[in-house]
Amino acid sequence: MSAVQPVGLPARTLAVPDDVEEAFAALYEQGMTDGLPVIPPTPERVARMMTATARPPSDVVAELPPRGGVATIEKLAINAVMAGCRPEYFPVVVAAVEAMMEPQFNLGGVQTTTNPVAPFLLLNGPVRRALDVNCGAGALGPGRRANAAIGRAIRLILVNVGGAIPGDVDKSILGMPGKYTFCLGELEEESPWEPFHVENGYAPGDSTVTVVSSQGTQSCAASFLQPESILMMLANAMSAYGANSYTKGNGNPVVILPPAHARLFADAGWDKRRIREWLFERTKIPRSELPAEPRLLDTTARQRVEDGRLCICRQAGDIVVIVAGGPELNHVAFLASFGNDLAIRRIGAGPC
Amino acid sequence: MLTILDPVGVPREGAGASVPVAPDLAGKKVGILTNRWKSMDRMADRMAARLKEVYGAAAAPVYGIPINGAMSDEVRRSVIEECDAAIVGLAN
Repeated sequence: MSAVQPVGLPARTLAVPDDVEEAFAALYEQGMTDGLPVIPPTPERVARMMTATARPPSDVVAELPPRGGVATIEKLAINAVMAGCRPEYFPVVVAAVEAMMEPQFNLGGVQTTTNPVAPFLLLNGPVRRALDVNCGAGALGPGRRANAAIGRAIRLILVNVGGAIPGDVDKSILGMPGKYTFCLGELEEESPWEPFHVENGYAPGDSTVTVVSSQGTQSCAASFLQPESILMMLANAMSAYGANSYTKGNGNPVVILPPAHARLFADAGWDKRRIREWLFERTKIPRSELPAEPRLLDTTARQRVEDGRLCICRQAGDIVVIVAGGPELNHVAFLASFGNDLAIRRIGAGPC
Repeated sequence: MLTILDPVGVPREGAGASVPVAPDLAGKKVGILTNRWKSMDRMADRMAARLKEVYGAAAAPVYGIPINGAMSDEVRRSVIEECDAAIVGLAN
């Protein structure tokens, strides 16, 4: 794993047994999987995956930390095959890798921290429907190939190319299920507001992938009809001092409102900005409620404090509000964040 | 047997060797970057002392870097402009 090679050389070939179980066992034994069965990346399958891009196989997309593994188009395609991606998913995988390489995403930190954090992938634009991405009921759960395989491809790439071996270089103390796959699309068609990527300057017809490092999901039952009641439940769920964004004073907490909740807010005259500002104010935690003992990693000086209360992030605008999920007016969700690291990339930008 | 392609990405040839090794540290200014874990702070103090006592470094200034984010361009520029070498540390 520590060998070096000239950039751009084709991947070396390996011989594994024909039998699928034995082939998986061989890859598993070499630490090349996430523990689940993979599709053997034969040259033919990899070549088919790469038909989805105009970029040559030797094109270097990134050098992924912490190992500095060279992520050529071919290497990304190999891992995408193993994850179960269809070729049409591949431009999303490439764009997600490029987004994670934006400096603010701090991929080296995300890959090696003791925090159980994984890149959360948010898809916007026409690509969601074209690829049958689940944006509705169970969007962060099992069952839809695009969500499962795209997220899984990213994990395999982070392990096989970036070198984030769990328990070795990936120091995540407990890990979390989102390290297998963590991907959904915004339910733009049922949102009363403009989609997340349009909020951030992209055209509605653009397809984008957004990456945010997230600690996982927190659901809260918010079967109310008044916006403030729903937000009170959310604020209560979000107000957890142990979340990285409180202790470090920055972050991109993600709030996921199902469509029925979003319509209720919009009908009452609420927009995303008002929701963000409400939550930012109501999630402040009085210092008096926290341990007096300094943490071993004493970040007190870096925390965002207003009127003696700790803020969930630097400013209200750093909170991400999106619409996704099933039709029932019940559960809303919150994803605690690792850092102030959100990055967006247009899918198919550049030569892809 | 089935032929497959290796999914493992390895570093660029010569990766890590692009920065010239300082032949000695005598009279040099060696920056130490810390994200302020207490253990790293202790190590930074000890490294700074040893750099001066044992290796004759002229100075070993400590630079704080974010704990959960990328180093700012401002700090990066400062280290490049002010130091002859730097130690990037994380003692978690």
